[in-house]
Amino acid sequence: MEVIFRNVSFSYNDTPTGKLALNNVSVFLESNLIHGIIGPIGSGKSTMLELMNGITLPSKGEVLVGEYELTNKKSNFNFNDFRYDVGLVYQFPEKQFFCSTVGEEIAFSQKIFDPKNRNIKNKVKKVLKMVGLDETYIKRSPFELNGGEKRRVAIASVLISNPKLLILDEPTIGLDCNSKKRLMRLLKGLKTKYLKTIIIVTHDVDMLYEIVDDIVVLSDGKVIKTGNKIEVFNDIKLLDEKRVPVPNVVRTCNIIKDNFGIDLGYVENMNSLVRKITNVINEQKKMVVVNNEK
Amino acid sequence: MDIIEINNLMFRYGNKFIYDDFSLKIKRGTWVTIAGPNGAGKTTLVKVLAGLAKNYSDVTIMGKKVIKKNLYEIRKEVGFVFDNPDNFFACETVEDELAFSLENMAVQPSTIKKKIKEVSELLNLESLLKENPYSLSGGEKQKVALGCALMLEPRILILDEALMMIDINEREKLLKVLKEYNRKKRVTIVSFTHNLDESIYSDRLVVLNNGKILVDGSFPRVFDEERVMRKIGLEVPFTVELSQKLRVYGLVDDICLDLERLVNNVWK
Repeated sequence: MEVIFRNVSFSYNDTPTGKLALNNVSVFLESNLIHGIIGPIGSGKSTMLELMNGITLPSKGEVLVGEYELTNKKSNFNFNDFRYDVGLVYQFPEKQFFCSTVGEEIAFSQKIFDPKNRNIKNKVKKVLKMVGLDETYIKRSPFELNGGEKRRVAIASVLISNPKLLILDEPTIGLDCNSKKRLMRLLKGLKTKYLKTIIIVTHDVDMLYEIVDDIVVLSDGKVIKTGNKIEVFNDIKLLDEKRVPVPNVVRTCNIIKDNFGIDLGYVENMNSLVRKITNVINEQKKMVVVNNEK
Repeated sequence: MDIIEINNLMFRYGNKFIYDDFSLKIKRGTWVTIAGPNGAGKTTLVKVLAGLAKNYSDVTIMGKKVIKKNLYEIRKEVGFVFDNPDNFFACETVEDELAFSLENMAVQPSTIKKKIKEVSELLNLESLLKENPYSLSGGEKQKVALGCALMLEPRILILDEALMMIDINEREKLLKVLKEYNRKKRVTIVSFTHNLDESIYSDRLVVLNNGKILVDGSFPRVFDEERVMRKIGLEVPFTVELSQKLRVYGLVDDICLDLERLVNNVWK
């Protein structure tokens, strides 16, 4: 499900002098990819997310989410269908838990939207499997789970509507390292195995760099760069100037290039960085030996 | 002198012991980071220090026992900043929010105004003063919450995941500001986090798991125990992990917390 922003502006204080949280933003987010939206605090990331979900409507311009058109005029589509197709996972989604078992928590939205559906139990089992939890969790209290498990239950309760587009606001915030890694694997799997389009708003660029395809960079409510992750993160000068975080792996490659003139090329993660550094050093040592022998 | 003393802390939720015979001492004017994975007991410890969790232990702050009759005196000197600022705001503008606690203590308006100017300059909040705190982003809200705590000029500042929503660049700037504040004003800082990147500005790192101290030391030596930290799910700073991996290949001798210096050490 693709998302298009066409000349979108938005102000929380809708007066002529109100500060624009988004200022004439136009972007195209392709289907079946993982997109990252990054930027310094107050740059408009969360506003963009709210607009994609129809929580707020643009002051100017239009947001197209698949076949749904969101403008400040009256919509001519059924918002319930839209809610099915677009799943939103808020920051700390587990804080919204209120059911006594994981099964009830996940099934809650279905019981509201589709109370006559007799297939809900199977759906719960299916989405639990999608997020990597087994059926024993159904009877457990969501409040006794650890942080990572809670986050996965929250994602499962959104996935039960089978959304084509999944939007996550700071999905790794507050999670420890192991829970974070599991969540990253889950998101990658949702894209490749279940063909979801995923949009992540985050400042955790190290996590994002490992799983994302394309990036939108915001600063002061404007898009300052879009493109695939390599292209975007290689423009370190611009990102530094606008105080946008840069992944540590990319930053290290950049220092090596600037200080020693060595281009390591595309480095996927920490392990590939270490491998490339050791290869370069070994090559250099060999050259020294060859030169000495000469 | 120890400004915070916890002796033989026992604490349990129902039948589950969170702390059993736990002791910790914190020296005046130091900055101590207390880190641990989700469920390690960090928030419980914050609650104990804030007098919000009933316990039967010997906990003293500035020589006063943390018991009901001393709480008012203790809380006047201790600033708490919690992880979720949404639970905290009560006013319609950031400026009013900053003024709130001092107004309640009947401080002169001119003094409050001066203090707001000082704190907003320190934390770069000037452009937000007229905004509604609820309309701010998560990171901005956390900065305002920190500002509210600093308005009271606390002798001890307790931060519970208080910088979690702030992006990396801004967080680094804030950590430097807090370091300066800690040095100049001799304010004791105790920060609770699961993010060890935040810890490197402090003087001492205490790692908790299941209510026990696993690691306790100063930088960068404390990161010799990085395996223990990673095993319990803590993410060590990027430079620590890279140093350790390069050390295995004999490319560097020691842990280096500065990325540029670390890279230069490889090619020296």
